[in-house]
Amino acid sequence: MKKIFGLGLLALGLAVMLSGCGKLPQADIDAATAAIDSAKMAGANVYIAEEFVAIEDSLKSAIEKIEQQKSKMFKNFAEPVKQLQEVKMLAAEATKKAATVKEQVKQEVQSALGEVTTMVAENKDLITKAPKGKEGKAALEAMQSELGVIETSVAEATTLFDSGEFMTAKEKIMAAKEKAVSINTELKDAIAKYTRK
Amino acid sequence: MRIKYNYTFIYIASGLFFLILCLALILTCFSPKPPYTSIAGAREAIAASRYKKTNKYLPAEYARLIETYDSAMIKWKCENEKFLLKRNYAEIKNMADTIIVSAEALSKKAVTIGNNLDSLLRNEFKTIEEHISRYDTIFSIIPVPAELTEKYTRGKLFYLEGRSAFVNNELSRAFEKLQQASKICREATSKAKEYLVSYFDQYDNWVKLVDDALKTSARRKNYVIIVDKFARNCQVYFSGKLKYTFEAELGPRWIGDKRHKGDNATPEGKYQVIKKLGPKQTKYYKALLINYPNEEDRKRFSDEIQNGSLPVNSDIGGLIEIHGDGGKGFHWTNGCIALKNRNMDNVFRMVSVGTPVVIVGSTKKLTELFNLE
Repeated sequence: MKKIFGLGLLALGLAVMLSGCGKLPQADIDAATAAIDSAKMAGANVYIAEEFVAIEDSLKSAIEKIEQQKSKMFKNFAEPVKQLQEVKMLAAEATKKAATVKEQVKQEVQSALGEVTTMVAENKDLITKAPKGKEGKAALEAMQSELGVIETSVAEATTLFDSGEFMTAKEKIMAAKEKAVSINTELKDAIAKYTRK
Repeated sequence: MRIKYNYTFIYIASGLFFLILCLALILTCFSPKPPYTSIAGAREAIAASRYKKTNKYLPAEYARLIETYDSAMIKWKCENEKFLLKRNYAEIKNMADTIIVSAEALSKKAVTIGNNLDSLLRNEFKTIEEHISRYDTIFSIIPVPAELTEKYTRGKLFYLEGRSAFVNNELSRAFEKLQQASKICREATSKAKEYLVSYFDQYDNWVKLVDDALKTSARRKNYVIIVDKFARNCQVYFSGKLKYTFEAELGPRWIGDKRHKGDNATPEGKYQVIKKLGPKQTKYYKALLINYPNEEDRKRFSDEIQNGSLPVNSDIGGLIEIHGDGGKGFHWTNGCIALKNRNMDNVFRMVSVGTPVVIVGSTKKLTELFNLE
């Protein structure tokens, strides 16, 4: 009886040794996937898109290697585990980097929104301060209409900003800023010409 | 102490060990080869196609590639759950091969689109910049209606956004923005052009007014003042011959005839000086008061009141002068014609009460002034 039991154990041990040497690194897969999700949440797919896609590719490659090992009789997950740990580390770095870039863009947009709003107000002020009555009142109508368009653009950029779409907001507000600056220059030039006389 | 070996057990154990080993080797040999190379190749092909911007130019097709890759991976996982000999990777390999072929085809397509889009964008930029440049040179000096200015500004903002997207290599978004800009700028330019062409419908009448005035001046050997709005000048003729040309500034809404008080328009037609105002009689250095509104102006004003084009309480206005204090560099009067003081001195000296003053939109044809094609 003892012999039969001993043989059974030996056979089981051999079978386990041959077919299941490596344990599926589920914890490493989950950790790497969670790290990538965090990076995405931080906006890495928007603010450092190329880097983010490269990390995602690396995760896919590691999972392919895991499946490859799973397909084998003799499994060895050492290489994919190492790759998963690298993915986790890179994703953590990307999270930090994305947050920094996002904050920079956010600050840039916030500052531009403030600048354009101030400049629109300044331009409006310049228009009201411009000589009234016979001189120049109607000449500024076109500028007022342009300022109206810029204000609409600022409102749109603010909505984009509030919804966290900083990149698109940046594009919009920078265009509005360029136009507001050109009006400001034009207005100041016109006033300077007038006051010289 | 002597160890007793149970040779039967050792034989059986060794036999079992070799049996299991052989079984494992047989299973390994006969089990299907995992599709690693194909799947990895598919992923690399997708990455290579992304490098060619398939995700930007062909997003739907690119998404399908990713979807197929994900499906292949799920199938692989499912197959790996099965018993070693029961696994079948053929479909997965086929899927991976399809991805590789499709990704390569998409890459080629994306390169073509990219090249086309790049040249398309450059052409679009060129066209819009021409529109903007034309609008700025022609229409920014002309008081076009406010809604046109607003439209044009909106178009210009889209152009600036498109330029920013282009700089950031966001070609699809740049293209989208430029298309919006192009549409709006084209509409604005086209409407502004219509506005200008319609204004120049009166050109023949202006030519006739000027010709008649010059013939009369030649016959009577007297002075005549011609104000050319588009040329922004005031020409002084004697005996039908040009003596002086002075820069002139008008009302901001100088296009079109004066219709009522406060429209900041400079009237058009045949007038005459009815009063000379010296330095203490006007706040604009010196002035020559003209007979606006004349009979024709009164008739048109009355017709406009009757047909409802103007409110019944409208005022036709008056006190249109050729005066000094000009030289500000832009149109600023309420409809008067402003000259630099030294030029006003000359005109004031030459001109007397009764001198004809002809104010026209232009003495040149529209085609001579601008290329609107």
